[in-house]
Amino acid sequence: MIDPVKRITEPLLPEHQLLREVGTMPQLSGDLRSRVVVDIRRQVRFGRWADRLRIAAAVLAASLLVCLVWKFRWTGQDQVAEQKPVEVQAPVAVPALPSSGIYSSSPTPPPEPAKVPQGGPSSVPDMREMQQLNRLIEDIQGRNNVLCGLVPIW
Amino acid sequence: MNQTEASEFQARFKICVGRLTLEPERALTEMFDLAAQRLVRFAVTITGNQPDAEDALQGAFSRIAFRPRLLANADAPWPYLIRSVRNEALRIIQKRRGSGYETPDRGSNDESVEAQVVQEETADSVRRVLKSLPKSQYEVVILKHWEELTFAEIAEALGLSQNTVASRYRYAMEKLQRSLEPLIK
Repeated sequence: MIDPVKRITEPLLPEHQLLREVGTMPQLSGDLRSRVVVDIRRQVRFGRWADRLRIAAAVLAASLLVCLVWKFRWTGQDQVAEQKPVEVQAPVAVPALPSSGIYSSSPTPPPEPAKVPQGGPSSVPDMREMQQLNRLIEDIQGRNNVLCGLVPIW
Repeated sequence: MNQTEASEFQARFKICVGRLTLEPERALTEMFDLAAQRLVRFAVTITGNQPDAEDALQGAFSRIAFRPRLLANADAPWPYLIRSVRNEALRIIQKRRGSGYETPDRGSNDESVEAQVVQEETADSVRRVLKSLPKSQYEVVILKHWEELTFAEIAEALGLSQNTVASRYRYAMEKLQRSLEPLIK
């Protein structure tokens, strides 16, 4: 036996020689080779199929991932496209709020008088919005009365 | 096995390993022809009988045939193959008799083989002395002297550190020297 790095032969003692003489090669069974060869052939075939399945599964998973990303990407674009056509509404005319209670002396300047729309096709929905706003303001004032003027009005 | 045979064996084994990924069937068949006897000889030391050792060999080759890249990409293919056979042998032993690995019966078959050897008595005595070693030391001695592996390769095959392997070998050889002294004289 030689050290592959140092190229120094290991000493062979008598007991080493005895041990090596005992290690005779066994006689293999007659059918072992045929058994193993058949088994090797079958396992190689299975292994190839397993490899193909593994590759197919990886490709399928990648495809699914791409499909998912593609779908969400399109959905995102649709949402953006839906948001675009929203028109900027004209400023709503808000009537001046009546100042009352402790907030009447607040430093904030009083709201400017709202411009009344000059008629036209959008006058009917504006009226509805005004009614809704008035209703909201009344609600707030009612709550303010209940809460003893703690709700700020600006 | 002399040095020429050993180096020739290593060279042929490397060629087989190199072909594993391209022609696994052919490469494994050649590998079997090349190494089957040595592997069965080693497996017998674990299983204690030849049929189980052959089953272990078949199982190891079967596993490697399923995934030949594991052997082809191994840093040290020959110790890797020995380790595969060893694992299969241990699995067979566990199936057969649970914890019987510690006291394997290495008697009858070896004796029938050794009946054809000229120095039968000496060989039997050496075997008896070898059997008296603890299993862990016995394996190291077998791999060192029968398979001519280095300590690094034995450590790879057994999944141990080199220091552990070296110390086991040293203890084993001390015992063997004492026991074999009368035979040497």
